[in-house]
Amino acid sequence: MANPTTNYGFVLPTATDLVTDLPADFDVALQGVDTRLKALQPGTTLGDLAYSSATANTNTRLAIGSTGNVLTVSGGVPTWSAPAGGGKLLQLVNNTYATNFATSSTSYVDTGMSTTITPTSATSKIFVIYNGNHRVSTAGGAVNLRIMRGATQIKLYNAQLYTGTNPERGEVTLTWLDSPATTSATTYKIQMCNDVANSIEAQLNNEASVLTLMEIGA
Amino acid sequence: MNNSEIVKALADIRPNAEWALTGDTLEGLDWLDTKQKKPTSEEINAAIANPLPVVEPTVEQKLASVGLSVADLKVALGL
Repeated sequence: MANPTTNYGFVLPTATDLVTDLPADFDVALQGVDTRLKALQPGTTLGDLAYSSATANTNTRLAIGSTGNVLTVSGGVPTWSAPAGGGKLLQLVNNTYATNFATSSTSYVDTGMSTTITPTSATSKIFVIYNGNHRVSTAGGAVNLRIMRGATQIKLYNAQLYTGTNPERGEVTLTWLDSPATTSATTYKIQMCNDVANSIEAQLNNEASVLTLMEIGA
Repeated sequence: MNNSEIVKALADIRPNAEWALTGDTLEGLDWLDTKQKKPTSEEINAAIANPLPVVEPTVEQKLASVGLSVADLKVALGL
């Protein structure tokens, strides 16, 4: 056997060592073995795994994941993560808002209807469904609506309701499939404006609007 | 006081002004217009107490809203 050993460099006693030196020699050799074994088996907890690190002969501890996690690769190393949904519904968040809102603004303003979701994966898609009761009261007016993700417009719907001379009211339903690419809490909201500076309304007569968010696995 | 009454009052005393109103009280009024001054609570309450009459659209306006004119109507009726 080579001395030091070929792979891990353990220093062994030699044929010329004095017998009285053997305890100290074995102490050095076995301490080297002990240190190396710990570097190769860094686990400390039931279920821990070890994988090769960038440092030779040294493994990295991967603590056990959570129930249901699967082993994936991120940044070139293994990591535990929630399983991909594969097109399945991962979660649904539903919110209602029933406070009458009116505006004469020709620039988009919040209607008060918002819902927040925290995606479980950055690759998930969010299916947005909005239903609300709206009215436009004056000639030439129009209820223009848009879906916002935070401060970003993700879908614009022009003139969902339009009036010539008589007030128009009705249920409006909007849908959109969004890709927020985040696992942070994300707020979607509805904004509206008029074409002319006259009143348009949402949550008419305090009837509830509904904004539903569905996380769809990638 | 409710949302519709406030909306009508705002239209009466500040026509074509831009604002947003949440709920049924003046606390929910967000004044957006930069050309017209925000009315006081007293002005709005007075306008609610004495609303201007609603102007009904004329026949011509009603026809125009569906893309027709009086002449179109006469032709359709054989007049």
